[in-house]
Amino acid sequence: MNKRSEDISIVIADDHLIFREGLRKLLEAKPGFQVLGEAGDGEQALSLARQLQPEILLLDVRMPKLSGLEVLREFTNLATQPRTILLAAALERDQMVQALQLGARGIILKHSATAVLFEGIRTVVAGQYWVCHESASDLAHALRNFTPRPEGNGRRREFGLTPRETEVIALIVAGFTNKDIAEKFTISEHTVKHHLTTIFTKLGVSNRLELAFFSIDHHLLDNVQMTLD
Amino acid sequence: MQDGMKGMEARQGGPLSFKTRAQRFRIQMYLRYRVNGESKWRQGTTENVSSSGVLFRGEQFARANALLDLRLALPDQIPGVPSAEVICKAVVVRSERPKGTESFPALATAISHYRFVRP
Repeated sequence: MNKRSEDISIVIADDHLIFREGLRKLLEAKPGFQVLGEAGDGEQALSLARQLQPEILLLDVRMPKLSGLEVLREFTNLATQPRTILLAAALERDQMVQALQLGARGIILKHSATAVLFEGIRTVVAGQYWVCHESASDLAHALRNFTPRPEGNGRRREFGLTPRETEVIALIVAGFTNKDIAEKFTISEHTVKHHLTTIFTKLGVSNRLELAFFSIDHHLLDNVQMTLD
Repeated sequence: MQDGMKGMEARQGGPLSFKTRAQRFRIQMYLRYRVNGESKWRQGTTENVSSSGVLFRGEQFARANALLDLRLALPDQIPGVPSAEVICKAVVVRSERPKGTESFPALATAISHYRFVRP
């Protein structure tokens, strides 16, 4: 099939033929969308995505041969991958996080209104992420408990941070005041301020907010273990 | 400092101080915002942040010069140690309605005050 350049090109991957055909008819009836192909299992989805290079892959999470998440994992080995929107009847919180970690750009539940589907596709094509309303609060909760874990120790050594300075940073990010930090470590507030001054100088930041953003962006607290007790 | 903002850190700067440009970080964080005086919180996602301002995509457009309340959810960094929420007072310095296939307006804000809130 020849791709019409003005339309959003889509491949549909779902093992339920009725659902796949229904979705195809829905998309083809809407101006601005073109379905390039359909896949009935995960291996076919992977093959079609490589061959047809659609802008959007609508990917069912449960499929034979390769599941939707496994397809996403295979994509991470490719130089280019389509923007993928996961379709699911229901999705566990962990699965949502995993899907986004593996590069999914959207999650749409199958019982969503068709307007949600069209809006989701357009949003992802525009470079944004789309998570349907019902899963957004679950996802926000799950994401708050997720961070990637690259080499935190290496980054801390790079900036010359001592273990105590790292702990102070951790408590700043947790919202502790200088007084709280002093009580936790049984030190004076003056000592806390001294630690902060040193940390600011080492990292080239000017205030607590910049420090918090810096530590997140540079993964300074990766692999740190501590408790608030 | 106005009532209601006690404990908030105002951005510093005086006649003899040099204001260095705040570092900008491309971090995606969940935030909520509302126009000052309204009760309904809207949802948004940051595109980049600094201690002087936040650029985010939100579900509702706000015009330039609108005063906003922002609640930024810092991502959790350490298991068992929940990160703070940062509550900010900000003003919209630039806003763009969605264009073409974009769905959400972009709001660029300047932060005037902020405070950390423990969960």
